[in-house]
Amino acid sequence: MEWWRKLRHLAASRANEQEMEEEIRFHLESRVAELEAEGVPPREAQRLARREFGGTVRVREEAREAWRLGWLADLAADLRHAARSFAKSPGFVTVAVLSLALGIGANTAIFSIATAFLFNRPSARDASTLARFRVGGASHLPVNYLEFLRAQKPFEDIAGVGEERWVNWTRDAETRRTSAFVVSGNFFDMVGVPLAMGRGLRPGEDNTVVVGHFFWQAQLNGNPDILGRSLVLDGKPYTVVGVLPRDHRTVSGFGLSPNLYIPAERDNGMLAVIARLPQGMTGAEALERMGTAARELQRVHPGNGHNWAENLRYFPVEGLESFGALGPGQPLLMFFGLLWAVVLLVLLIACANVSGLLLARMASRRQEIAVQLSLGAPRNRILRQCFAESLLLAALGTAAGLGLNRLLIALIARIEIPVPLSIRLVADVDDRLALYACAIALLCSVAVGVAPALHALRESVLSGLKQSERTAGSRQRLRRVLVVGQMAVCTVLLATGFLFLRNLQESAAMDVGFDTGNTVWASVRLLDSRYRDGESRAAFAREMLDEMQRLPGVESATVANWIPLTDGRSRRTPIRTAFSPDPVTPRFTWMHVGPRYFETLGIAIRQGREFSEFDREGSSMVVILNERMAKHLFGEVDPIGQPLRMRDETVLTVVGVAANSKYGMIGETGEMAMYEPWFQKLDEGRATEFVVRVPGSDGRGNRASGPHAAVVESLRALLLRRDSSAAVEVKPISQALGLALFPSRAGAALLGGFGALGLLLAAVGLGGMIAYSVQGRTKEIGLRMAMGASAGAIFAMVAREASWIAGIGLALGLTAAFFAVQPLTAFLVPGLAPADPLAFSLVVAVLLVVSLAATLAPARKALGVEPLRALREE
Amino acid sequence: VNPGNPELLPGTLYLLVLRSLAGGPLHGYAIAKRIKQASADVLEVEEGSLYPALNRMLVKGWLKAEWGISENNRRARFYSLTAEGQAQLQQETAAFDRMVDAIRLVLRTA
Repeated sequence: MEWWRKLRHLAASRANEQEMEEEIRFHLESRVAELEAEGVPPREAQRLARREFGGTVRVREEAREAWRLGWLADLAADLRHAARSFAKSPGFVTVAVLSLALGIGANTAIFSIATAFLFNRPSARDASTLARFRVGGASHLPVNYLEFLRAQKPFEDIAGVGEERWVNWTRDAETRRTSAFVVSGNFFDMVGVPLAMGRGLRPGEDNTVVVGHFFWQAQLNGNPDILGRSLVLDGKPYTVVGVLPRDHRTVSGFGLSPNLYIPAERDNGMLAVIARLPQGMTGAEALERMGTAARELQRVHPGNGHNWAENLRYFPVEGLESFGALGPGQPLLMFFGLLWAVVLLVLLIACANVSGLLLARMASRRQEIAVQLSLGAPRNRILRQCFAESLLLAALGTAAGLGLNRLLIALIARIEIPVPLSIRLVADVDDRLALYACAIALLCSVAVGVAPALHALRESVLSGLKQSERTAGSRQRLRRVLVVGQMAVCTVLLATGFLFLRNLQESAAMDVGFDTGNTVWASVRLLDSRYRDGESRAAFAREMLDEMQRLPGVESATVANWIPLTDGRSRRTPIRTAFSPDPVTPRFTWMHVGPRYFETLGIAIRQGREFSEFDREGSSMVVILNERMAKHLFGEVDPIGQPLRMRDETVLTVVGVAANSKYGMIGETGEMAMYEPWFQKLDEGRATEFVVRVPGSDGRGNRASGPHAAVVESLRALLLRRDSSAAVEVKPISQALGLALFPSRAGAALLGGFGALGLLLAAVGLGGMIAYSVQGRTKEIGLRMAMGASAGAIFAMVAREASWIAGIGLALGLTAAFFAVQPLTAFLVPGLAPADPLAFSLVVAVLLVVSLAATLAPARKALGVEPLRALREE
Repeated sequence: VNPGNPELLPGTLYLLVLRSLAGGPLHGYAIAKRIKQASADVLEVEEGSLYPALNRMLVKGWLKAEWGISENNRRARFYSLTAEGQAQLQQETAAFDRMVDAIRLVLRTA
């Protein structure tokens, strides 16, 4: 705290001086008055008082001394000195700051993204007492069960939020799907969600809506009079009562950003349990209270095959522990970890560049340092100066890097993430970023300053005004070590980057097991209010399929409840067969598909038949398995005609075996799948996703013209004509595969980008070092030329040094990379080895070419040496 | 005088200032008078050296200073003890007593 008082004192230094003077005057005058009262004549009193007091100048000086800031003041002086000396070499400063800015920009950008997605700070009043619960192992509960738990009053209050909800928004004649959060009536009040305009949703309301900032801006033209207007959602008018601020972050985290918040309907939808805990309650206490309420729920509404009171879990909505609330956080965490490691390496390369530049500068400052030392400057003073320089560069680099961070974040925020949820990056500058940037700046200043400081120490040991050759050699050796290190680190980065590029190439070319080239997908979201039961949906689907099959260019049409690689639904349930009296409980992908599904998607039926129009409500219940699942359940036995006894005692007969394909992810292997007829066991909300086969395209389906475009148009027209309240989206399946390819694309773009950045920085480092080396050898080169060395020989001499450095770096880097990429298997498509030979060969080729290119400029300079002038120097 | 002055036991000036302020806020001149009286004019200090010591004690956070009106109606800077200063006073008094006891003991046995 002392330094803090000193700093505050410093801020008011002029006032302090005056106060000191006034205080001394008061002292003297008081003494004089006292002496005069005792009868001492005025002049004598003055003299006496002064003598008793002592020298006022010394008193003031000593008082000032008490407030001196010590090393902080020295640092300020060193920084001023560094700034003055930098001002003389703007070229050096530009390269150094630019290097650091690139490294720090990339680094902090990853940090910003990671904090925005992983370390959510929800927009809520006192988020630290909000927690999410998993009850009976379920992340989401039906609305009435949530109400039941709330009525048990385990905490101050419980609210619910459902994140995965689409609504049909009808404007004029157009209807489209938009993402919404459904919340219980008390949600806004309990969570304390801040609003930009208007108010939150209130209990008992069923036709009000709060709109998100971006939706308001983009879809409602940022209309300032939006409050009180209504939006037609799912065919019903909702009154806009509030608008969220731009930086709204949900309690669900992961960058989720709903367009709308609407009230949850009582009998529809599942909500996550969010509770407001009393201040200071621990997780264990909270779990215990929730346990009591869950036992009561289990008593009154026993779970279907599970116990509500078991598998209770608790996650605070903010901070580290909030991971896992949505489940699949782990691969994401690993990926961010990888990115972070990579950007640290990029930064390391940047630091090595700056370090090398500082070393080169020391050559010109050798005299200055030697003079300082000979005048008796202590060694740590020289070190302090070195670090002041690197600190200043790091501070400048960090400032520029933060600018770059804003630019990158703005660019990345524009990327639409193709997941079936609305996600938006909102990464503003906050205290965490500021703290991280400070830490990075300090780290950089140390990383940058170590080599020059070491060198300065050696200089001070040899301490002489004359010698130059030995320290010049040490300097160049240190620089070589730095560049070798850069090359090695860069090799690792490139290896990772190329690996992910190869991964993208492989995944894009991968056979997904169904025809993505000749198929068009028409997604239709029907309103529950218009299609109250499964039968009405079935009637709609039947009619549409008939019409679709009659459209020109369409070979076949089918319907499914979801389309592979655009979503994913799996299930884990006990199944009994004739061969397993004890049920087996496999996890498998589960789909409902209509007649001609396999024909339309070009999936081979290996055995038996596919579904037909006769597999409908009332006919015997049938099922198709993929090859893996058939093998898993029946081994070598012929599965056709075999019964599957499900948990609810229904019996499904296997009528066909379909070829294996991809379902949820491109990278998956060994996924089992079960298909049931779309028209059987119809539930209320069965999704209507149509697929039509349009033969005769180029096999990639990317063409905007031709049969595809015509069919896309006629399908859209057909569906809109039939029901204008349904949200319709029509596109070739190949375009819809963005979700499946997204991880590969993101990985390739990010890691490829960072690899390129690392390469650029390392090339600058190598080029700079060679240039410096050439400069140091001007005399030698001139001599050789005078003795008749050819241009080729000179070039070879310069290139030799560069190839040695690059070669050693490459060898070290390849070894390191071989081990470093091993844990990346999890991110790669099956069949691609982490140490992919093609990727590694590319690394070697690229690095050699770039090293040569980096040597060209200095080599040309070497060739331009005029022998006579070179020899006359020094 | 600074605390290293051989005429004064180390830290004695601090202790004297802390003791004089134990009764309530005083301005610099009053502190100087208090010290003189308390030490029965035995400790001859240049009064001016009180002020650097006061500043050092402000830095340490033992004292705080505020401008106020003196008994003769003049603007004066009043010093008072902070909580830290109180604690320091207790500690130094105890330490000082122990030291004086030790010196007495040595003198008696010698």
